[in-house]
Amino acid sequence: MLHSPANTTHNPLLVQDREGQSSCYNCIIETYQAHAFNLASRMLNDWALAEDAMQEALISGYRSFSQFRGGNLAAWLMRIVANQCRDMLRSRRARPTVPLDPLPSDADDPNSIPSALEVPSTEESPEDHAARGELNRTIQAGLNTLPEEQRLAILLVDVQGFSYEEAGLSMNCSLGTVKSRVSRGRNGLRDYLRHQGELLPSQFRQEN
Amino acid sequence: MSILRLGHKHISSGTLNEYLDGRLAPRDQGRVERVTAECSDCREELESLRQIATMLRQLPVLSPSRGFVLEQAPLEIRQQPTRPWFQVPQWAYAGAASMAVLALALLITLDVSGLVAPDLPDTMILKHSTDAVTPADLELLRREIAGAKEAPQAIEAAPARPEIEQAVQAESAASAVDEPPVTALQAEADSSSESQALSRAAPVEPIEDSPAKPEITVDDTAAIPAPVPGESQSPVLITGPTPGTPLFWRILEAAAAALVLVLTVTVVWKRRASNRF
Repeated sequence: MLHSPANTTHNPLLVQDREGQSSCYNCIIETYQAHAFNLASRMLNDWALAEDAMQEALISGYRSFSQFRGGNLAAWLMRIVANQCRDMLRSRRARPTVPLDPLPSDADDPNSIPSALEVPSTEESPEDHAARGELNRTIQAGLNTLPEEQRLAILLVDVQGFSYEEAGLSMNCSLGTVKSRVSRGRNGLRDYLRHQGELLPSQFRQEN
Repeated sequence: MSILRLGHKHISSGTLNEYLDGRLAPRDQGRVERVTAECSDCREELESLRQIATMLRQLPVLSPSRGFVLEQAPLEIRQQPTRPWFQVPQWAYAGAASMAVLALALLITLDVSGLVAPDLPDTMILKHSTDAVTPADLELLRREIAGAKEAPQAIEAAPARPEIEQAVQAESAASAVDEPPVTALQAEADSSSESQALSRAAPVEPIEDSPAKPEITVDDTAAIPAPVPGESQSPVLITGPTPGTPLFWRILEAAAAALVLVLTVTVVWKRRASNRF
């Protein structure tokens, strides 16, 4: 068993998939929670809302684990998280609110207190760190302008490193749709960054 | 995959993105490399997309402020036990919905084409007709009334007969003064003037020897309310449901429509439920 109870110090919470295979649900959470939270927070652009989405999605996943047919567990979990994010974005559209806890890279809040993520590393000068932070904020702002499905596609493929097939499983769509969404998402983000070009540090415009 | 669609010089951004993700076949990959080496626009496009993909890959991973490990099993949502008949595949619901739509279409088609209209008695047709009553119609009625003399029970079963008798008498009176045919509506609506005409006209053909036939007299016709001036007179005689579609057919149509609705909702609901996970 990949996610065996021996791998966790918590209550293992054994679950069984459709094929009868048992797994330790908390081990699954420990394995994928960082990636799942990264996806949720970049989708929602709200730290507190992303934590709520994670909580709801993981509970929902526990209840529906018996429907899991086996296979790619990461894609299955991301699908549940993505669905939860869609629901939250829908309800936020219905009742617009100001994010209580925006992401540290939120471009709309330049005076936000730097989080631990933004503390300069020893390998990066403070100037480079500041420039990197500005770039990350601009990218997140660009992501926020994209349609939900395109944002999800490039987060899964470019940020999470999923293959097109895994992204298709997570988004419940065909391979062709994944290709199209990734392409449109990258084009949209590039157009946004070009439009915001003067904000980008010069060394990041031509780097890589 | 065709790289240069319609002979266009530049490579589409979709193909360039697939190239960046290593999704192209080796032959197409070679073409992209060849074209981007020669075309500065394509090369610039490819580099900008590569830069975007790299920037996204280098975004820091945002870590939550807490772990999401569940301390205890979440409470199960109480669910109704699924009944075996409910566990049919989705296509069965979709097929049933399609059949119901076909059935509904068939019912409505038959209804509109009039194939399900019942054979109404002539008296009923006359009662609801707004067409002019021709002498031939009245002759038909006269024969029917004459037949009723031999079958009094048939007259008992036809309570609307006084109106018809009245129409017959009105026609007789009208023919006596050499007037064009009048409609049944006008015959009744102008009952007061007709009754006067009756008194002036030649004697009507006596048909009072029928023991069960209601007596039509001037008094009877006078009892019919006079039309209100300015009021539309056309629907006066339409007292019952419009003949045509039988009630059971309408019930069938309503049932088919309800079935279509229920099955469509079920298909959509099951589809959404299966898409969730």
